[in-house]
Amino acid sequence: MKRVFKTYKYVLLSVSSLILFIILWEIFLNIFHVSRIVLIKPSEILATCIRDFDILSKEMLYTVSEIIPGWFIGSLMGILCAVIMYRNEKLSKGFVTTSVLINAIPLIALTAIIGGIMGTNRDQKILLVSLIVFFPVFITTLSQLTSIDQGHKDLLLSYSAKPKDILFKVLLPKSLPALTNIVKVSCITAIFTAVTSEFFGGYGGIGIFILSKKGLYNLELVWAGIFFIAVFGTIFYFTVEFLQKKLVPWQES
Amino acid sequence: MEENTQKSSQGLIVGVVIVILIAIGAYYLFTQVLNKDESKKQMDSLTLQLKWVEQAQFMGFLVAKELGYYEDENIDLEILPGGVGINPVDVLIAGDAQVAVAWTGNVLPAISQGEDLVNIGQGVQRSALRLMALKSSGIEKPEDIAGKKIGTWLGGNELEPYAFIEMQGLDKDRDVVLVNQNFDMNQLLNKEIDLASATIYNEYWLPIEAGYSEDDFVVFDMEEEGAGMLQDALFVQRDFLDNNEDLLVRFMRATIKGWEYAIANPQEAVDLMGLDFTQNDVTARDHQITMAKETAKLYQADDGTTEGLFFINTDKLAQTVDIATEYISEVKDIDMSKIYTLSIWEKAVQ
Repeated sequence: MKRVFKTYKYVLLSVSSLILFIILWEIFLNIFHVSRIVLIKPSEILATCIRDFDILSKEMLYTVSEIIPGWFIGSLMGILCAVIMYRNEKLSKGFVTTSVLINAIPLIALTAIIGGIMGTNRDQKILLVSLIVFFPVFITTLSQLTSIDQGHKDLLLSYSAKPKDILFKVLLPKSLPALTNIVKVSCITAIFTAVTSEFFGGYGGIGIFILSKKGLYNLELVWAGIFFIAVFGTIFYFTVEFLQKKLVPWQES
Repeated sequence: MEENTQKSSQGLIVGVVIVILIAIGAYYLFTQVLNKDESKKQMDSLTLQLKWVEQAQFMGFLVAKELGYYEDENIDLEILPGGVGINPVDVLIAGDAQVAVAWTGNVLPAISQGEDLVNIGQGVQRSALRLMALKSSGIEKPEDIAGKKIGTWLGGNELEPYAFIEMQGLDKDRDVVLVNQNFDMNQLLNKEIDLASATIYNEYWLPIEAGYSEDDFVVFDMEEEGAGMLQDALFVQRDFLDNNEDLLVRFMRATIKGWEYAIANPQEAVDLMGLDFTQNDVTARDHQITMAKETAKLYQADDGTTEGLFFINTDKLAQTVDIATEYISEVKDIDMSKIYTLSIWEKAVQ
C-alpha cells in the first residue's frame, strides 16, 4: 500500500487538490450570494455536462478536428523547415524574419485576413492553428540545430561523417528534448487559437457554442463548454507528454 | 576621442530623458487643470452604453449630446460605443453604464436568470430584423429553410431567427446549420451561407449599395412572420431606477428632443454625429443617411407617432415575451409588470 502511494503520490495529490478546490467552490457559493452571471456551482456544471453530453461532445469534436490537424501540420512544418534551413544561414535568417512578421500580427487580425481569403470554414481554423504553432517550433528547432557544440562536430568530421549522419546521429537526438517540449506546449496554444478564431465566425465548434449560449445567458452550458475545453486540453497535453517520454526516454523532466 | 564621444552621447541621452519627463509632467498638470474646470460645473454624470458602434442607428443620442441637450438638463453624458464581443446587457449588469440601449428580446434571458432590469423607454417600435436569401438559392417560403445554413449574430441577437426556425417546426440545433455570421453580407453573397441576418437600416442595404438589386433577394420580415421582437430600448437596473428617477426623467427628456431633431433632419444628424468618414467616402455617408431614414421609420412606427417617441406598448412587449417564452428555452418565468415602467416617459413628456 505504501509503495502504491509512493508511485502514485503525484497523481493522488493533484486529483485530491482538484476535488478540494471544487468542494470549496461549491461551499463558497452556498454561503455567499454571488450573481449567477459571475459564477455558478460546479455541481450544476457537472449536471449540465452529463445532461447535454451529446451536443457538447459534438461541438467539441468539431473543434478538435481543427486543433489536432492544425497542431500536427504546424509542428511538422516547423521541424521540417528548420531541418532544411539550418545549414543555410541567409535563407534561414530571411525565413525567421518572415515568420516573426506573421506572428506579430494579432490573432484577431490574422483571423480576419485569412477569413477574407478563404472564408470561415474548418480549413481556415486549421491553417490558423498551424501558422500559430509553426513559429515557436521552427525557432526552437532552428536554434537547437545551430547551437551544436563545435567539438562534437569536429570529432564527427574527423571521422569523415556526412552531413546527413551529423544531423541524424548528433543534432536531432540532441534537439529532441527541447523540440518535444515546445511541441507539447504548443498543444495549449493550438486549443486557444482554434477556440478564439471561432469567436470570429465559423460553422460549428465549442467556441461558437459558448458565444451563442453566453448571449442567451444559458450559463450552465457556457461553463460546461469551458469545462469540456479544459478536460480536452488536459487529456491532449498529457497524451503528448506520455508520447514524449516514450520517444525521448533520456529527457530530464 | 572615443571616450569623448561616449560622454557626449551619454549627455544626450540624459538630456532627452529630462525633456521627456518634463513633457509628461506638463501634460499631466495641463489635463488636471482642464479636468478641474469641467468638474466645477457640478453636473450629474451618466453613462450610456450603445448596442453597437456609433452610427445613425443611435443618431438621437449622439445629436442630443452634440447639440448640448443633455447639458441643458444638467447631465454630463458619456456615450460608450458597442462592438464585437460587447453585450450591452453585460455592461449594464456590471455597472459600467447606468443606461444601456439593448434589444428588448435579448434582455429577457438575463431577466430569466434573476437580473432586475427595467425597460424605461422603447425606441424601435417594430422589429428591424430580416432573414435574406438569394433568389437563386431556391428558397421561396419559410418552410424551405430546412437543412439550410443560416447566419446569425451570436452574443445576444439570435432570438428572432431562433424563434422563426422553431416556428417552421424545425429544431434549431438539428434541422438547420447555424453559422456565426460576420457583420456584413459577404458570406451570403459568396454563397457560404443560404440565409443571412440583416437589419432593415444597415446590412439590408450593403448588397444593394454593392450593385445588387432588391429583386435578387427573398426577404423574410421577422415582424410579418410572427417572430418579431422589440429591439432598441433603454434599460436600467431597478436599484438605479428607484434612486435616480429625476435624473432619468431629465435624460429621457433630452433624449426624446434629440431624436425628434434627428428624425426631422436625418441628413444633418449624420453630419452632426461627427463620424470619421475617410476622405470623400460618399458611399459610407450615404449609407449612414439611409440608416438614419430607416431608423426614423422604426422609431415613428405605430405608437412612436400616435403616443410619442419611446412609448412602451404593453401589447407589443407582451408579444415579445410570449414569443420568447414559447420558442427560446432560456426565457422563462417573466413577470411582465416588472420588466418595464412608463413612469419615466410620462414625466418626461409632460
